[in-house]
Amino acid sequence: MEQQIIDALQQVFAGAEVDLYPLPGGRFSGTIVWAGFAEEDAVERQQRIRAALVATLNGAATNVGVILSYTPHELEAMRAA
Amino acid sequence: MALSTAESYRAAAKEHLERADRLHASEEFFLAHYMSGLAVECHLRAHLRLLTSEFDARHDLEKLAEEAGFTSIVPQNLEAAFSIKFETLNRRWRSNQRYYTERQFLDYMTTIRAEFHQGGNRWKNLSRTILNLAHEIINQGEAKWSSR
Repeated sequence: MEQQIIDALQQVFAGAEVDLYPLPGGRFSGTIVWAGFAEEDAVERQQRIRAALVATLNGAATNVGVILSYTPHELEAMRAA
Repeated sequence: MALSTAESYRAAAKEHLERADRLHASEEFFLAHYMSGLAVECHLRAHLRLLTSEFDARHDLEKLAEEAGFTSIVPQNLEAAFSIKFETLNRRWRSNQRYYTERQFLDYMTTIRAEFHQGGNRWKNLSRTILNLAHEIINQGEAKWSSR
């Protein structure tokens, strides 16, 4: 399931880095880092992520928990702070 | 020094959040911002202490949430909304901001485009946003505290 989620996200968000960790019940949470989020706020990003998961995983999208989204630029700034 | 317990971390989070409310009300916006993030860190540490007595010296909220199993206590229908709240707070709050000048702080907020789509009083908005987020994240943790 983990690889399916990664593949689903990378299919829609080309070049994204996806890092997941397991939750109870075979579910996964994690982060997605993608430069294309730069012009979107947190709400828009989450809408796109959820829509992408439903479109590619169908019912299995319920196996995805909390997904945090960042751009590479944001991550770099956060790490440098 | 007395070792922090899950309950003492939880109480510290509550105290810090109340302090942040007072600081915001008295227009000490930088301190209100910092105290809000610190309250969330304490709350995550409270949840983590329920699972382990090992101390994680990092102030990385994302890692603390992961290690504490915090995301697994969020109801499934609230996960998308929680993602927005947590990533927004995590992007804005850095533990090292306690060493920042006001200029450095505002520069950081500009770098991460924290005020995307937002106008008005910059300091007040930044403080209010993180304060609201801290309340919501901690309320989420409090709602599940007794069941852990």
